[in-house]
Amino acid sequence: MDGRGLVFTLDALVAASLVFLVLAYVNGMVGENNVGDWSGTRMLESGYDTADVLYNTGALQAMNVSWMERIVNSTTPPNTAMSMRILSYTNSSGQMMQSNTMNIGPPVPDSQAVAYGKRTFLTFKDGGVEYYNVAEFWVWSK
Amino acid sequence: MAKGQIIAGDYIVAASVISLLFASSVIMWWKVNYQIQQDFMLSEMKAQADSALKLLIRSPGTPLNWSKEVSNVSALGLAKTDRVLSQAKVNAIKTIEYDRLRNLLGVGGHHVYVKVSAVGGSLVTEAGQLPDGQFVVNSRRASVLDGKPVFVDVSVWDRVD
Repeated sequence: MDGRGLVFTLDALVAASLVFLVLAYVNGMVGENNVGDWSGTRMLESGYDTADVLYNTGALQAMNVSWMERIVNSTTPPNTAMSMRILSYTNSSGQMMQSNTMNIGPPVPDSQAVAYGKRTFLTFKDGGVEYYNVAEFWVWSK
Repeated sequence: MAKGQIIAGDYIVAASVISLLFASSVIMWWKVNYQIQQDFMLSEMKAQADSALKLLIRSPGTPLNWSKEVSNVSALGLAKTDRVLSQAKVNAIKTIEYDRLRNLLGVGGHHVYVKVSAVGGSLVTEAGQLPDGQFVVNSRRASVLDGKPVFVDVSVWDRVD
């Protein structure tokens, strides 16, 4: 057998295999469609939307857990989960004292990226401020 | 077998491999190029849908009372206040002429469809053209109408021949 011809063919096959591998990798990378991915910003946006819906429907001020859970479950996108904690404070001679804590939704996972935001609101009683509230929320991909 | 014949045989095998490689490269290059263009277009459409939706649920539009005289609207928005929709504006959006609606929502040459629906799914209002193409992107955000949660959907779509 002629050695030169064999080397020529083997070289071509090795080169072809390498180029094929690179092309297949590039093709796979480009094929990954990123449109519609749930980035942190979009999750945060969705969290603020839900927090505002809770506030604008009055569910947040009513501090009604089942009402809030119903809204959170129906307005949170299906591929995400949301959890909320409401901290209520009273003003005691200029000193803010924490009085209540309310939790809604599943526990926040500690092993994945979570978007965090908060919204403040007041609740009133007898014509005055009853509680100064902070609603914190966490949104993550399911 | 003669030495010249062996070399010619090797040459034919090598030439076949190279030709196959060249043809595959051309096909893959075309495919990758097409995919990049498609992804770019979808990303652009997604950004337009997100931006139009943000405008609709967070801005009251210009003039503030544009729903009273739809022909005067210069910037579209359905909000009474941030994320609280105005029933009059929700009703008025469907009376806007389609090409005008596209321009006001800034979707360029693409098509657009806007839907406001109750959380349970019942339709409150819709405007634009229902998606009827192979490229469709949809954005959905929650808002409030008449004290109840609603979804506002914006679909930007196109068909490319």
